[in-house]
Amino acid sequence: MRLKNGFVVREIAGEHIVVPVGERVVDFNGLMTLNATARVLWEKLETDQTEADLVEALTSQFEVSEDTAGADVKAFVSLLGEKGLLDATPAAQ
Amino acid sequence: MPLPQPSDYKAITTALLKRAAAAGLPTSGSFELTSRCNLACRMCYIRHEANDAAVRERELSAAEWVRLAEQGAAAGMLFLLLTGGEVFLRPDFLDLYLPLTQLGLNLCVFTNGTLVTPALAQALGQRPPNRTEITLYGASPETYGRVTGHPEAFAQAIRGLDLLREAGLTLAVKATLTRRNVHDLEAIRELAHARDLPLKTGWLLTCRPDGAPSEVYEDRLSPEEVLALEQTDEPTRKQWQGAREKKLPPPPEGMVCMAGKTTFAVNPRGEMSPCADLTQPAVKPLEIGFAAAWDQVRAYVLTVPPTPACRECDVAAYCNSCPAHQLLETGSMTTPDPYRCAIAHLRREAFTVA
Repeated sequence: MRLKNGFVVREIAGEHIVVPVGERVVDFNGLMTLNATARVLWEKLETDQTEADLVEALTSQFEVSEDTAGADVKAFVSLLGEKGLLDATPAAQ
Repeated sequence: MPLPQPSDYKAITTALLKRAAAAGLPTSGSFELTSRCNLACRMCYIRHEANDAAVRERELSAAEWVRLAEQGAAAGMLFLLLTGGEVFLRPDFLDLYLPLTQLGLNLCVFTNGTLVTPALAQALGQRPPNRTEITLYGASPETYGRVTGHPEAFAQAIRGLDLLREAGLTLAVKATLTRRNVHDLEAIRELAHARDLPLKTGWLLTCRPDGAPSEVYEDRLSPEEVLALEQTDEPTRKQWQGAREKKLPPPPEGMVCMAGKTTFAVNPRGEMSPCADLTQPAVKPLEIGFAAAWDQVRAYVLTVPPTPACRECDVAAYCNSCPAHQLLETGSMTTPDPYRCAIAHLRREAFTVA
């Protein structure tokens, strides 16, 4: 899975804000703030990832158990999916 | 490990603007693309004739607006309002607008809706602004004739509104209320409600910052009429019933809003000021650079003195005056505005909770 195209992350006053651009506003008209954990996951999801990849990204950058990282990844992916930000189809090689 | 929880939009934007103001960033801008308008509202604060060639010649080009937006985004601008006059009077509107949709901005467009065509609605529908607000001036051709001088504009506005709605844009309806159309408020509310659209209303009008004449003093609601209206509007009633809790900032601050702290306005000639109601300092970002212009706007608002009479006033909590309005109404930034003073006194009488 990976993020759909059409989002930029703006850093403003220390906040990282996801902004839809162009045609993407049609199906996501809002703003999303990313905390430190979400930023790591967001950056990874700019290319095709599995949940295991995302868990590994968290455990390598933060002092957190695999179980906790796994739960956090599931929750984040679920949120992105619910908001329509994810493209579940693997990207073409 | 904490993850971001979905927050409501207003909470995110309010918090962000506060942080941006503390950091001195120009997060929220408005671009007045033109002062020209195809309507002739008696109370308008900006309008020039649609075919005024001299005024049109002084407007920034589409390329200049895009360049300004790019510089603004690089400096921290996130929210951008495109307004006028009537923005769709510009035949190059899409040349200006479409590049902005790629800059990572949250875009809002204000319009009277009368010049929306199916082709324009379709183009906007493909890359929509985050929000589009259409101002209605009445609920009938007769009222439109009395306020705007163009009775045919009512049907045009409704058609434009419906075209944009069918194209899928996120819309809100606004109504600017005067003595000539306030009787249409319920009908305007019904027009918005029938389309499942929110309605915003405004009625505190002031004269033109450029000093040209308008009929605003004849047409705006009297203080008593303002109160009669505010008492029927639930959000407004709630706002003023809680007013006793409002605290004024400590001196010497004169400008208490976000103007010049994180918001700014650029007029059709490319001059930047803290807000559309202030004609100073009118610095030119395209000539001196966006960052330098913003620094001058920030410095300017720090020079605005507080109004001594307001600091001692016992109805200050019920007042939403500001130095910009005081300047427009009295010629001085530090002289209380009699119109808003009268309204504040009436609010205290009407809304004080025993």
